[in-house]
Amino acid sequence: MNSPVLPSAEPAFRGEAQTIADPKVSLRNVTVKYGDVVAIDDVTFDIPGCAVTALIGPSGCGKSTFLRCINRMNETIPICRVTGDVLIDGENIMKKEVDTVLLRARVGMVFQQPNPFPKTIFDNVAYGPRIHGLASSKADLEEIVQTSLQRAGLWEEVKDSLHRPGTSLSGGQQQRLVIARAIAINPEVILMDEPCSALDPVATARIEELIDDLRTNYCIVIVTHSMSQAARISQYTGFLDRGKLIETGTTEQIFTRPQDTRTNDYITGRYG
Amino acid sequence: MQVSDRHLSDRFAKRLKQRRRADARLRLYGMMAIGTALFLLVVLLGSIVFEARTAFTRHELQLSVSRDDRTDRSLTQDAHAKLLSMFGDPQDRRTRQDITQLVSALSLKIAGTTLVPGEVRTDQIVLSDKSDLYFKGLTTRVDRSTPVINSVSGNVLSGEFSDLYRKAIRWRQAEIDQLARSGLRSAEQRAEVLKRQLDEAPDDPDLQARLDGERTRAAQMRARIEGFRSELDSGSISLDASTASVLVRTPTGFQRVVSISENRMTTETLLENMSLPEKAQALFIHTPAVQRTLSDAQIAALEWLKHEGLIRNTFNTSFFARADSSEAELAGLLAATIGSILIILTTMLLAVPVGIAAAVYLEEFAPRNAFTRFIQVNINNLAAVPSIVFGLLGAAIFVNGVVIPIPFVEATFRLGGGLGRGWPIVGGIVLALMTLPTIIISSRAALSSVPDSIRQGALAVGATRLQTVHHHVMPMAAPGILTGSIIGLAQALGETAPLLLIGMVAFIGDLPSGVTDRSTALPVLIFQWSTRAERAWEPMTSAAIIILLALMLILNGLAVWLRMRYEKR
Repeated sequence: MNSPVLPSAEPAFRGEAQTIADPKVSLRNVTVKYGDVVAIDDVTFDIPGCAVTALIGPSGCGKSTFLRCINRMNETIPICRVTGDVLIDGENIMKKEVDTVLLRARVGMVFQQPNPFPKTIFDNVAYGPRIHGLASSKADLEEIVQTSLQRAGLWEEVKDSLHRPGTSLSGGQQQRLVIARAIAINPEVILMDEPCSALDPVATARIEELIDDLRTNYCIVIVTHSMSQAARISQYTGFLDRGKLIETGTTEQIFTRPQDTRTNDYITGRYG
Repeated sequence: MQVSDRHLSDRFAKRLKQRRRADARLRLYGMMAIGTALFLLVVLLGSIVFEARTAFTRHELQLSVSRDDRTDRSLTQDAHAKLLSMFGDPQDRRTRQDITQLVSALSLKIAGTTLVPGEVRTDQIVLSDKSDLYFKGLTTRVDRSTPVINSVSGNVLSGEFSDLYRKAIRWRQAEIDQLARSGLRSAEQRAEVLKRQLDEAPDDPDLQARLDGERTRAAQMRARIEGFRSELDSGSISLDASTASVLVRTPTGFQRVVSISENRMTTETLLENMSLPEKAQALFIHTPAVQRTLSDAQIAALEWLKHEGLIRNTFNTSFFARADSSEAELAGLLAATIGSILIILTTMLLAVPVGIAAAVYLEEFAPRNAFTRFIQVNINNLAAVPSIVFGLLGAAIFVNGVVIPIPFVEATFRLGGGLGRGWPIVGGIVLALMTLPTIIISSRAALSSVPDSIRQGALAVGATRLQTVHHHVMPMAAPGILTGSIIGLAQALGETAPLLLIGMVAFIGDLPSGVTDRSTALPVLIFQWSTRAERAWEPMTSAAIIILLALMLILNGLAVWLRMRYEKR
């Protein structure tokens, strides 16, 4: 965990001008407004693939809004206006012709509160593959469900009760269930919006372990309030304050040698 | 636990006590409110059920009658002849009429014409509603006793009648009290007031006339009371049509008592030439003849039929199997029930899909702008529109049509109209319009109560808006939507005013053949029956209310069942 996977080139993470080679997701001059209120102010940010990128910052600084730019979930809020470009693998997903259904099949999302559907555990995981037609047969679907649950570390606990309602699980299990639901559609990017804030320390530890496992296959972007969590699980960190991206860099760099005084104040607990 | 001094202060303790008392008070108010509501409900249902209890049975006369086409003798003629012969063929026209009116004339007519030609027979004759009410104890209170008759000479009976005599005295005394308490006293009070007014305006001839009138009335009442009192003192009471009746059954017939004392009765013959048991029987009938629907002779005849075992109390089949009728004993609510079901089916097919679709669009798809807010406000307003207005609208648009003059041409254009008055489909459309706001509002509430996290979760795995709504939001909102819809329909089922306005007010004697046939509905039928004058309609009205309530309960039960079924998932 403490050995960040750095791109081959020497990182030039400094301030807003940083770039990394071959980013998975890139935000270019993204501005988000709720009516007249600016939530994200001209943010440019590169997110590498196969790594965990943490977004930290005080409450209300726009972390969740930032996250929701990447799968265009902000569009579900009527008064929200997004400008700028978001590139995934170099393709601009902000273009009108990009289908949000397809986009969200590529970019999965896990929310703060576990939100399993009021259906069985099996149906929860199978829902995505079903609507996208990812499974060719019933056996195939069952295999997808099993693999997803295994990768989410939930299989052993629920394999005998796949037809119990998903809502009957404990909070930590529910959160792993929605992670399984997200990875069942085989996304490239997984967005996590404070996935552990509603969980106890034991469940949190399990989720963190899971995130660390998942990083080998997915580009993970996680919003967290917990500085220690960011330090434990992420390789890259971005610090947001009042809609502005203050500083980005490797987690080690941000936590040991912050360039900006605001970052320093925040991570040392004097601010926020 | 360490309790700080602050928490032990008197003020804290006093305040705590107050808070506890406020809690207890609130709980008491709640319990009182629920208790009152329950009490009222029990009283309401209890009174309806009590009133309706007699409507589900009817009394029939066991008598074999037939229609003989060879002699051209109708079923009615045969029945009347046989009935009269049972009572020794009385010659008095009045008595004959009394006896033939005991059975339902309409029922005989229907039986005589609807059965196959040839020799038509029937063994059960439906009694008239008035006879039926007598057996149900709703005509008058009757006390039966067995007087000892020692000798009979002409119309004078001697024996031991002190029991009957005392009853007559009590009845008379009650009447005197009544006269003195209400009639006389109020006449005196009115006279008093008029007198005072006259003192202020001594020359008003109108006041003087009114005062004289009141004084005369009071004097008359005083004289009557005086007469009654002296009669009570005389040891003999005379009875007539304005007093309670006493009927005596002797071995040869029935007699009415015209005067009674401790050991002597003068009588008048009602029915004779009959064979009856040796032991005499007396009936003390509390309601005076002028105030009841059956004469003394009719009561005597019914008592005899009952004594002979010819009266059977059976299930009132007409009530459930027939349409409305002008005669209470033959009226039923089948036509109205069918009409109500047709109306509700139409309403359901129109209002439920349209209402749910509107709610889903407004809640899940419509942009939140001034226009949708305007629509929402107006839907809320529509829910508050009195139902009779919808009736007017329906009558104007669907039945009569709106006549629009075409400018510059001497012609008019009719918009809408063309549907018949009183058709169930018109009722259904009108009630659907009335129910739509209810369904839309409750469906929207159910949809908006679905947590947004479910929508977000579905959208985040790449579901379309429609899939999100269809797969996740609708199933979760279904119990609320169904409950709202069914409550809306139950409301429509009990609606009367709009149906009256689209012409369902007419008397309909046949079953409706479809949604485009003149029909009536249960609440309208209840309204109509409640306005009919005869006593027999009262239990019928209550019984119809029970049927309507039962239909509602079935609908609401369905809502509860659906809700539980969906919530289990």
